[in-house]
Amino acid sequence: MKNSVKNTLRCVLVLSVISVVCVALLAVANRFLPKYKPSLDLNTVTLINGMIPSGADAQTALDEGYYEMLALDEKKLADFNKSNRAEANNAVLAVYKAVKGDSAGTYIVEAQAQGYAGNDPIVMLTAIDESGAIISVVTKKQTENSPGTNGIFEDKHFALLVEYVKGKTDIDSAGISASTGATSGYSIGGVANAISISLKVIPEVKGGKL
Amino acid sequence: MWTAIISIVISGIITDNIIFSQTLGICPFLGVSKKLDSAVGMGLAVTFVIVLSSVVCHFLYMLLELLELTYLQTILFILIIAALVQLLDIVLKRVSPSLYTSLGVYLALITTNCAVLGTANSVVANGYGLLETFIAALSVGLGFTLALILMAGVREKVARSSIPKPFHGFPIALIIAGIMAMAFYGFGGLSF
Amino acid sequence: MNKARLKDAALGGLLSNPVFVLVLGMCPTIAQSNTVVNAFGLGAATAIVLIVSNLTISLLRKVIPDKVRLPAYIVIIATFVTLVQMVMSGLLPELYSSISKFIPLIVVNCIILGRAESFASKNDVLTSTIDGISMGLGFLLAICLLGAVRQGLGLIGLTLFTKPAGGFMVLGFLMALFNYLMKLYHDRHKSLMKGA
Repeated sequence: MKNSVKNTLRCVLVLSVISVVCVALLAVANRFLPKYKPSLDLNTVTLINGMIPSGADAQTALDEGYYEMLALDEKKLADFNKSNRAEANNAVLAVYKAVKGDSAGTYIVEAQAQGYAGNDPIVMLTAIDESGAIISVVTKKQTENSPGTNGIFEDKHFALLVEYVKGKTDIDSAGISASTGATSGYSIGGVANAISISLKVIPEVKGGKL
Repeated sequence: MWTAIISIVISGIITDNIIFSQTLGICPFLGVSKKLDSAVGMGLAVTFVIVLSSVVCHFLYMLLELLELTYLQTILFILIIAALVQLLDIVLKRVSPSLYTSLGVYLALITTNCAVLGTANSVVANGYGLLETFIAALSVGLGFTLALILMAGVREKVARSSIPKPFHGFPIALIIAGIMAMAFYGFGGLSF
Repeated sequence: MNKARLKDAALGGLLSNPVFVLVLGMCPTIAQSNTVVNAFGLGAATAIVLIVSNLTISLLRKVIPDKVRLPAYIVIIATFVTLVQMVMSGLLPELYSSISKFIPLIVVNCIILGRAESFASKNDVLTSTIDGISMGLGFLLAICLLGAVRQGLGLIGLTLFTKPAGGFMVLGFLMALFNYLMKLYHDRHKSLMKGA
């Protein structure tokens, strides 16, 4: 009898020690390991420069700080994303602003939304002028027209999309479908959600709420 | 509201089928799909655990977010799932011995079924509310059961046909699963 | 030190390959082998967790009481998985974003708990570490091979193979091929033994 009590105590003790050590290890690691932040890299600058030409080439624009990434409050951005979630993993990832060059004053939002392609969301960059109207859009990453899903949402659809969104302050999936001729509800919904959430975040950024 | 729920149900069972589209839970899918009745038993046991653990993890994650301890997510979720499976084991043994004899063998396997942890992770990542979590978990479980039943039906037939020796067992099962996954692609265009 | 056991442990990754022979850890194998880079990322993360957890569990095998061994193993493995997740998301964000869903699922990869339960809990630290390295490399090799075949087939236009359906099929055919080669190897082994 005494032995079994001792055994149980030993089980509980060993398990608690292991748990405490593990949790402590994680807490330390969480505190000191570097955390990933989206950054303004050459690829992104090239895409932005393609939408709203700054008058300089991408490398120069990057080196001389033509665009800057706005420092948003992580917690508030997460809350914003959560309350504007029409679909799984839709989110604003980053907001950039053109501070020099021909298009200074323009905001560029990087946002992702779930499209047709399984777990791979569509990542879009949307350039929005000071009045809140869309100047242009470009896809940073998408696998909608990747191998195996040919014809779902092709490059030609994306090209027509750029024409459709120009100057709009509000877009909808029916409009995208009609203007591009694309038929996949998933892809269209993904594109529409990514652009819509980008439009929504700008007033919040301007109002200093994020 | 209703369209959102219908879309969760359809994507959980068919378009985003946990086996054929997300490729989670393959081990029990291959291991327990040789006979139809064991496939049904495993499917129902997994469905039950997925629903229970997703709902518990939903509340746990709210607490973790409040305490800013989200980095403990993996460690706590898997412990919760293991504890739930143990608890279910004990409760079933006492309360319903007949159900226990039909499900008991599968219970031990469920802790390491990645469909369970995968679903708990994804409902939390999607930021679902309680009702959505419940419905999403239930449809994922039903999708799993559907896949298992379909597979068992085919494998019972394949067992009686002659196939080259190196393909015996798992290889032929994987190839059949591949063909079924192709069929499930056809549902990919469904939308609301 | 038992030399035969050490040799068995070292060759385990090949002769009882976790993917092709033991048929463990199928889910990440199929889900993340659509490109070689993804396959390597997840394979390496799994191998690291496997090696470190084998080492730790073997070190603690006399301290952990038998009754609570499973929860203890789960806590240890989950801790290492979370550490790998933190390091990867900090240092390799691009790779991490494409395989992030499957990193936490390393916890329930049957290879790791299986090796902890059947090997590391019964063997000394050196043998267990070697077993971890061998099994980890065996898994890494298998998932990379699958990734290379699938991406290769995708590049020549057979794009179905980069999707889950193709993953199932390629793995099925590779497994059959491995079975065939193993049979040749064992037959040869037997006839050599007879000859001697």
